[in-house]
Amino acid sequence: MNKLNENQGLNISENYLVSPFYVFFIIFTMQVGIGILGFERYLVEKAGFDAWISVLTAGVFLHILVWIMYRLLQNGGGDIVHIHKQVFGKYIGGFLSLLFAAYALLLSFDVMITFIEVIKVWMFPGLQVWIFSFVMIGLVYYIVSGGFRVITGIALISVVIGLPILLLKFFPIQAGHTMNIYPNINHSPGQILAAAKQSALSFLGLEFLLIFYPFIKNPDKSKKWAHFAVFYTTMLYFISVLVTFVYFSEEQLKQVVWGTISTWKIVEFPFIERFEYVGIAMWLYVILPNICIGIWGATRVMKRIFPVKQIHFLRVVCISLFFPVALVAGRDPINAINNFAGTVGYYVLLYIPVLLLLKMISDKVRKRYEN
Amino acid sequence: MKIKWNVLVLFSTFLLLTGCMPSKSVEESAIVQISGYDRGGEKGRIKGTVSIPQYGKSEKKTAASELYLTVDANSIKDVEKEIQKQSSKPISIGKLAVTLYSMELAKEGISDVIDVLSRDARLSRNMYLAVVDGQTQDLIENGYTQDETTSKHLQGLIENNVHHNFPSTSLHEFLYAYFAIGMDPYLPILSKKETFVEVSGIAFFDKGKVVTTLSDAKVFTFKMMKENFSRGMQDLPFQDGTIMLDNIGSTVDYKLTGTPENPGVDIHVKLESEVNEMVGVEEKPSPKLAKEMEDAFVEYFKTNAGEMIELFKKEGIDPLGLGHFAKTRTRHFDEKRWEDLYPDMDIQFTVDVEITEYGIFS
Repeated sequence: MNKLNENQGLNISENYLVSPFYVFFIIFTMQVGIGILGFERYLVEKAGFDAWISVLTAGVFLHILVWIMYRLLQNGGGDIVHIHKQVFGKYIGGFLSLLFAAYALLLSFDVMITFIEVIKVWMFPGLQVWIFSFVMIGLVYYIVSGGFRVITGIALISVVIGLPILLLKFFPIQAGHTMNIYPNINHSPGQILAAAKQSALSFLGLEFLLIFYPFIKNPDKSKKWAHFAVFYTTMLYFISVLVTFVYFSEEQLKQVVWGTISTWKIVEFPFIERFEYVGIAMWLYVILPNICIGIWGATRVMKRIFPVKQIHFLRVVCISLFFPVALVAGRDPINAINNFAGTVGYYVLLYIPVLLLLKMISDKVRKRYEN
Repeated sequence: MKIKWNVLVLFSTFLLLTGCMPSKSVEESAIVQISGYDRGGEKGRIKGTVSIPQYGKSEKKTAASELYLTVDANSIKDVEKEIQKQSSKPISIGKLAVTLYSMELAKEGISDVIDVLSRDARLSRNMYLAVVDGQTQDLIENGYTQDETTSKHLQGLIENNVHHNFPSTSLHEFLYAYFAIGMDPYLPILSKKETFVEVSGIAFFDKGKVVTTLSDAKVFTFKMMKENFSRGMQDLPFQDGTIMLDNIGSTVDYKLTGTPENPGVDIHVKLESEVNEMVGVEEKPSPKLAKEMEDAFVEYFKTNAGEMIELFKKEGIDPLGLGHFAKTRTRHFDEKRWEDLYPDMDIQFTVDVEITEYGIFS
């Protein structure tokens, strides 16, 4: 069952590579996860109904970030472990890479517990979390052990299955008060930027490019797909924000924990009374690649640092994730972990330009030294 | 054969994922479709009434029978608990379609109830809320039609009227207005007559309390000022008889006027209509008569709307959401100042009535 690439270095043989086109699906699916179900409320707390500007602003920053990452990877010729090693040396570099791996695990963990909470609050308060998380982690183990190509396939399926859910936006728009989004800026640039920071937290995920870059065939050609993915995500978030803004009144939205799921509540078909049940069930497909890519990325980084097979790391990670996932429960701790993961992610995003800068400096110094 | 094993594992995981919940069968649960709340015997207590449709075991279609349960409880959640005590099957409230409050209770305030309704994930946002003139218990326990349950009947009643003269209403819309700045909610009033129920007006809320009501004769004018719609009828005494106006398209437009220090609102309605009934009107339909009828309607709507706006100003409520509208058009909207200015605000109402057809007989 183990189809993970066992090559320790960066030269990955062609049968493990994916076409540049798939970068679109991987980045898109990584960015759209659990955050989109409830990010509106946090934006509104910061910048009211002007927060749609923040989403667009955040999108622009992400485009710049993609550009920076490609600069970094093209010059560094590899992945984050390689770059860290070049810039910081073996030990400090390795340590920083391990922190990055820990961050990837944190994201997977966060997605899992938040999704379980959504199931518990919206559908089954009495869910047997032990069994559910066991089966879910089993599924993730199965997919990740299939290797990066299988994960890419899952990402593709996830995007395709997730798309029809977009059509549901029609229902809340119908019931909406469109005058709510009249562009009438009431908030200071500071507040709007604060909301942009907040929305960047739900945009997290594109930094995984730093890990899977060596797996892309003709990486140069993948640039445009990465940008497409970021653009598409931004638009998706933008539409979601607009829809919830017309559907809820401002004070009301501040009290709605899961804005997007709440808009599903008015969807009614003759054959199904409450659509959010279907939506949440389908959302498992949307978050599945998130968890998989997170765990795959973490184990991949570990493997690049230590000379141990990735499958062993995968087993250890899956087992050690199972207990916290099954144990953490309740709105407050989960919210705290969400915020923590968001803050860490925010600093990771900030760290990438810094890394580029350090890399350029170290390249210059090295050149001078060689001369 | 290795691949087949993989497929098997994959599918069995999905199957296993579904097995994490205890199952519940539909026949085994009591599905509450309507609930009503009255003031209880003692102060601070609530009397809750629910109706549970009883489905026979045989396949033969029989008359809809319902079981009515009434309990006296401390709070809304307590009602559910108390009803559980009287029921032989587990209560399920996911299909709750209509929730009623007695006028008595609504005048004291239903904010607590609103909190329960907005918090519970099992409830539908399309649920109808209504205020009952009288006791909700009487209204629920009175079977109205042979082949429909009370809840289906009331749901249909409200839905049908919302498509005609009554402004749109649902739990979501109530919550929207309840929380919005510069907007106050309203609900339809149901009243029980001898053998039937009718929608008899609108109750206006200030936060959670009913402060004033509007009779059904004026509801058309209110809906006209509130939203665009294309159905509904309004009658008017004209000359020696009555004419009936059939709305085929009405659009409303708000405009902010005046200075930021002293704002005002213009409400302009364009109403396109047909006249399908002219009882006791001697004249033949002609452009001149149409003009007269139009003027009569304009006069009527203007007086009505003016009275209504005065009423809203006097009670300090804003069911039209003018403050909510002004907020979207004003930078740094000051809610407090708006509320202070509201009672003396210059709110103008203008209406264009255009009568295009007079039916197929002249």
